[in-house]
Amino acid sequence: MSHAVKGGHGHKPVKTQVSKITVAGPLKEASRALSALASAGIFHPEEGKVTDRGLELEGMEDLADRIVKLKSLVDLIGPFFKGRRVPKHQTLPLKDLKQKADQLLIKADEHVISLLEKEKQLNRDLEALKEDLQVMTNLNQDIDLGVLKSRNVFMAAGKMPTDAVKKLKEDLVAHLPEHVMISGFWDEGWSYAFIGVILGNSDKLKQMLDEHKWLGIHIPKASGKISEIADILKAQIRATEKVIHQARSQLVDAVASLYPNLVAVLEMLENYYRVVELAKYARQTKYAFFLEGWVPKSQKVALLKLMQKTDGVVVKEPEFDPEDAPVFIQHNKVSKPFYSVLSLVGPPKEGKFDPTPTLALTFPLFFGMMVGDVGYGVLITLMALLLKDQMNALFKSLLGKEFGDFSKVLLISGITSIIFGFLFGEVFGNLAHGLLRPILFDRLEGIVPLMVSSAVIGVVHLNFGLLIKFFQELAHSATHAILGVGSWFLLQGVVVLLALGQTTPGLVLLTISVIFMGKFEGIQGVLEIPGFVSNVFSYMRLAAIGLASAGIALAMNVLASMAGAVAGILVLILGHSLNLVLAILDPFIQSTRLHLVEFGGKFYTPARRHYTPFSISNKFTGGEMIWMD
Amino acid sequence: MDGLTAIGVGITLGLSAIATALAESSIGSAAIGAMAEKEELFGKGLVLTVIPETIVIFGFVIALLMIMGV
Repeated sequence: MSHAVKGGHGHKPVKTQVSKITVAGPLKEASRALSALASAGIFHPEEGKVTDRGLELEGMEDLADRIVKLKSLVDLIGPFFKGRRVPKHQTLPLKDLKQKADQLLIKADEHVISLLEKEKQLNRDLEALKEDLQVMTNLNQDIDLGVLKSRNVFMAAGKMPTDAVKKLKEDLVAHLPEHVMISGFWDEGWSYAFIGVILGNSDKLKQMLDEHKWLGIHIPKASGKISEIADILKAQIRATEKVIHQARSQLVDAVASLYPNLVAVLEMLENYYRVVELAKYARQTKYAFFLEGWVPKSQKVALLKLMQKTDGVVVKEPEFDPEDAPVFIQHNKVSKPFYSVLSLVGPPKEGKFDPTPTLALTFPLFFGMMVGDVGYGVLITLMALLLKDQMNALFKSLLGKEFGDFSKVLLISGITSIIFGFLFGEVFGNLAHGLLRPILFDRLEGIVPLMVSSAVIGVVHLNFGLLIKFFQELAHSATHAILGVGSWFLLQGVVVLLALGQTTPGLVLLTISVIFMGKFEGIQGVLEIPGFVSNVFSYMRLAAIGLASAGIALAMNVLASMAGAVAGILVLILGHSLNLVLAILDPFIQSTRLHLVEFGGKFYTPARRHYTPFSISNKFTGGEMIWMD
Repeated sequence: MDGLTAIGVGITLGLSAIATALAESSIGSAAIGAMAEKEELFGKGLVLTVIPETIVIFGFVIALLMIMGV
């Protein structure tokens, strides 16, 4: 099979890490080929081809229905299955799987749903009993409730604002002197009462109650003296609680035997459904199917071998434009989390410098310099360790699933924040003032050295970016690299010469560098000279954000010292919590910006997309290949 | 620092902050609009939205230089 790659923009041909693949074959083999591709987890389908009219696979129509039913069942009984591991299950063939899913749904209906309903009913009964008991407990008289329930008496039970009770009693005495009223405290601002009048006066009573914001309540069924009813209710509550406990343990046992099978079968069904999703990228004619995508060069042989197992399926490697290819990059453990920052704008183009490892060094450095507080640093580190999953989930939901392990970025940045905290002598602002002496200087007192060090860091970082640009250009054209990119370094030499008072050589070099810049970088390059200065100024945010953070912390400490002991502690907790949130968000955004705009702007050109292979889940299954027949 | 310098510092920082806010409001609303169409644009939107923050940093630097009497 021949494989050729077009060269890009007159430069040397760019070597890509992925190959373009087309898979074509007879329609009857489509399910088999696609299921193998989906479960291999190495094939990145060509995204541009998705439409609603993809390939239609037979035997998959009723999958979605079963998945929805199983999913709702898992949601329903999941809370009763806690803290236990689900063993790995062997993947079943589709036909057997559908049968198994149906069996599980019937089994769940028979054994678990009935128990769940029973438990719910018992809980409802318990709530009703507790409400009755509440009604019986706080009444001001211990009368026989049977009297109020006798045939000739109309009884009303309800609650009303406590301040209206006295007025109601007065009205009753004035207009319905033959009445019985017992009342009690309900909850904040509300009281309740039982009122009995002779049957003929019921309308008059109802009218009167309407005028007193009366809200009807449930009338307990029991008769007898109120204190006796309360005792009976207490006994009933105890008995019901015991039954609920038994029902719960029965339910937990039933769930324990069903749940592992249920989640595994659901995962298998969803994996088969992934094949339906992959089929959306494919095309079909009357007798054949066709699918286009990408595979890492290192995995090409594996894919070819896999496709050989399907009858009549042909794999071709067509020509492609490297600009079009998704980018496949692998990083080591330390630098991998920092790739997330770059992925905000896209992966580096094939053949270009990948600055991820340098980010692993400079990102936490900038972050730490901005936070620069031992207290906040410790809290950030603890958050990264203890709330790892929540943090990752939050940032993935915000920034997309390519946004990897953010907690690790935060962990390393938290540690650098602690180190800078010691350098600046800050623990929650000036809380440890006198105990912890700054190793370098106090930020609020040493504004000038802080600004100067920020600018120096900026110059070093920007020159590093230019150096990367220099080597990137060197690969294509030595003249362009040395005279074009080199003129930026020359220009900075001019600044040094002028600062040293060497005006004449300075001006000569300035002219030379501007001429080279104009020739090799174009008029744009010359216009970017003030831009370079503004980039250096931009690094002063390292000082500015840090000062703002230290300033807020100081303000909170001053406020707390002015308030009393309790209020002071409250101000400290609230104030520093607020500052902690800012101390995570702002340094993260600003450090990201410095890397992507100022530093990255010197050399970085992002590619269009990442290599994201289509895969199936293997949380509860062994991750075996799916082969559909 | 005399009174007029203090007023100057206030105006420098205040106006540059307002300029940043105005620029960020337009970019931010455009970014939210783009995100509503395509959720993956959050990252790019975030980076573009914070670009005008340099203006207030300039204001901050100039304000500091004024305070120091440069």
